[in-house]
Amino acid sequence: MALLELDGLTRRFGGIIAVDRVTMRVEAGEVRAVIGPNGAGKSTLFNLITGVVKASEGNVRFADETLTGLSPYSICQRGISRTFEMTARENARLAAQARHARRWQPYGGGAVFGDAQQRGDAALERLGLTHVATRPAGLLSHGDQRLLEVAMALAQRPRLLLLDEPTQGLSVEETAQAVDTLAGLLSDGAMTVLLVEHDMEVVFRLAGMITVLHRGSVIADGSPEQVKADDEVQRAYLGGLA
Amino acid sequence: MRFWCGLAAVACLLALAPTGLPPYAMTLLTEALILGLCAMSLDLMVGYTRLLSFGHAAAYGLGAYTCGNLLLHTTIPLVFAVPIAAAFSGIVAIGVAWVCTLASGVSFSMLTLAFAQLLYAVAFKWTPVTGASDGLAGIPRSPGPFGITVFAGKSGFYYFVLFWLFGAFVFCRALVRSPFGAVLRGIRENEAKTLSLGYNTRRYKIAVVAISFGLGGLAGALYAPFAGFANTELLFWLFSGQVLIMVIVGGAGTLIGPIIGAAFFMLVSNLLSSWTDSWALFFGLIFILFVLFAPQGIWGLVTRVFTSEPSIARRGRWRSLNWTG
Amino acid sequence: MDFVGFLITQCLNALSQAALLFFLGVGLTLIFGIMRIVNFAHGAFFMLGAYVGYSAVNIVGNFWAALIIAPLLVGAFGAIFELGILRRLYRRDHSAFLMVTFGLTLIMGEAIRLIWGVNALEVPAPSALSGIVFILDEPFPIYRLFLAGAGIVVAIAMWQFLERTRLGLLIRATSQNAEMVHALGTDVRLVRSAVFGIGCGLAGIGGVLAAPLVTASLAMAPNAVIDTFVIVIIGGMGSFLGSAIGALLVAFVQVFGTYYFPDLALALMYLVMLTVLVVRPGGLLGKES
Repeated sequence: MALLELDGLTRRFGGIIAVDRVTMRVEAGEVRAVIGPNGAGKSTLFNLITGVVKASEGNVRFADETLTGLSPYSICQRGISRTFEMTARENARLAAQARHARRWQPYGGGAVFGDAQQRGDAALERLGLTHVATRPAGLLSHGDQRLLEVAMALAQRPRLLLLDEPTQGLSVEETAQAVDTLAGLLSDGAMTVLLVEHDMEVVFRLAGMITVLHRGSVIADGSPEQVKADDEVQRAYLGGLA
Repeated sequence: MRFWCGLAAVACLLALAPTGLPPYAMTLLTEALILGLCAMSLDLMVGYTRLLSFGHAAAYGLGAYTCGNLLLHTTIPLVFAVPIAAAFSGIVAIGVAWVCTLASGVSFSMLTLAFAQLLYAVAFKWTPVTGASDGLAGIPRSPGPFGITVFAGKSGFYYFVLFWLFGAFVFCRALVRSPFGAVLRGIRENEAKTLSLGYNTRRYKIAVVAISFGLGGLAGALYAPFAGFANTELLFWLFSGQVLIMVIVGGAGTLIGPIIGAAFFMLVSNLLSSWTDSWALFFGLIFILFVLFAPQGIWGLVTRVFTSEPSIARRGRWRSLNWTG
Repeated sequence: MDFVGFLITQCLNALSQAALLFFLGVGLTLIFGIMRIVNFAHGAFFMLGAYVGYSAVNIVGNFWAALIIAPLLVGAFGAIFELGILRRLYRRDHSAFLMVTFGLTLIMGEAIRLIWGVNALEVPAPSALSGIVFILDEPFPIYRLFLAGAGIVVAIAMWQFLERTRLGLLIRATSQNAEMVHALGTDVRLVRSAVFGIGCGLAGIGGVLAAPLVTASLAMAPNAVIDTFVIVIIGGMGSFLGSAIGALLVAFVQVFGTYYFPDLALALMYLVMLTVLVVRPGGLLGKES
């Protein structure tokens, strides 16, 4: 059974159809990338899945939705660079704490902190950040900051990991390093990932399946080889530039 | 462990004060402790959650007027009137917090100011409850239960205030070191990020504002029987500003700092007012100087001298207390 | 007094009130729009304008001269403050600005008290403006008409200044992309000082104009601060048109509200601000969402 199912998902803004009857299935253990030229609707699709924006039509289904009401997914989104005092470890702990039943406890907290720190540290290790764990997050290199964001999402033990352009703003070198780490992280096939990404190199290295959006609709859906060979995809990306 | 020893030492020192200090100094010390409590309560919002409030006078005044009315018009003993007034402030604060947290940033700050001014205007008009511009006078330190009158005396009341200050301090300290406090710190660092982690940050903000207000109300509730009167000055925005200055100059985000800031404020204003009428001007100046050059405040400077943190982490703390954007 | 006459009188009252509020609001919105500084001391500059105006009238003997001198002095003071103190804070969190300008408010309040004393000071309106006109058989002070007119004139002047002059262009460009302006050779720091000075000068004009109406007093600052923020919050931080609309809205609510619910005037203000913040958190025309 698919972990994530999108069924005829549509979103209109006034006269514009940003997302047009998108249907997609993401199986457990899959790493799926959503790509498309600028304005294809990737961000809107992302926001529809995370519930930030309400769909005009269609629906989103997570298989076996968790009973505790905590969201089954975790988002990795940019926005960490303004932290200056909290260390990477503390950030990871805060992320893990969010999934704890007693995260709001106004006293003590030894048990909560212990559990959360363990998960946080484990996530940091999987992302290769243990050597900078005690450094304030704002003082990490850009590449490490991106990886920290992924670590924070990971620390929440999500069923589905949503990555929103994780290599945006990184230099070529930083991107290569980040992709290496991420590839290592995803190699065991235990994580289900939905990745929105611009950078083709990143996509072809990490993704098992690719969905291509163009003007809000899905124009191709399959393995990287299939997508590379697809005529319509070629046209969409290169079409107006000749 | 070090903390509890230090706390015990300070407690003993303060407990011995009535034996060593003259009555005039005792009065000043008691007032300093009350203001310290007020400043510490504001620190929860300003220092730990970065919610800048210009309306803390509302909490203080509300607590003072409520306690004053209870003591004047009922036979409820002092020892109960104070916590009741504090609880009332906290409950009112939930509503206020709900409203103010509709906005964030500067708008939040302005809403707190507007609310305090609103309360000020209401106090001026609502003569039966507040005595309008004359205020409430002759507030008694009602005896009881069982006819206890020890708090009516200077030393007795001093210990009463000390009890509440220490209690509040221990409570606040536990709060900021708890999981709840960790979320507050996350909000202070980067609210958007904390929100995206799945925390309902608004609820946490409402909670901290309500607690902060409740403790500010506690301070006001202690002031009314201390001074024997309550008037609209307690609700005036200049008082809100003074408390904010105490927090920043003392050291925001440390709980101890604001208490020191309050003591500093009282000391300096007393010294200054003996040779100049415009100590408010100097305080404005001192405030600006601290914000510019020593934003971590007095306590921040002191702990920097004695701390053994690695320099990178310390730099991080310095910059965060600088509220570097 | 018939209803139409009443309505017109009150509307004119509101317009004159709006003019004063507009001077305050446009200055603050300019400063915020360009520099992202929330100038808590704006009410204090307003108050300073009133007091300096008082002295100028007494020394020079001429209200019109005071109307020019006082805002210039107030604006200059503002620019100097920006140069000396605010400049150091640009890299810090914006709450630092709020706190420093708050400290300035305290200092200015005290300094004014020291120089001019505690009592409210009467500033006489120039004789040409101190009479009464009859509008539809209702008496109406000429001075208030003058205020309303002055507000409109300044609004148009500001608009033209921002749209047509070189400095205005620089100001608008800086608000959108300071780095580009800097790269193109303009010293952005000077633009910022100029903007802060102009903003404070506008508040100063408001103060001088308000003085004959409300007398110069120490209570002006806190009330002005709140009024200004309500306007700017309603109109939206950084929107020139928004501050005009905000000023009108607030003035009308204040004037008609005070007439029908005299005790609730302040509460009404608070309610309006709240409503706007709930419905459109960025203000009606604000740039911040």
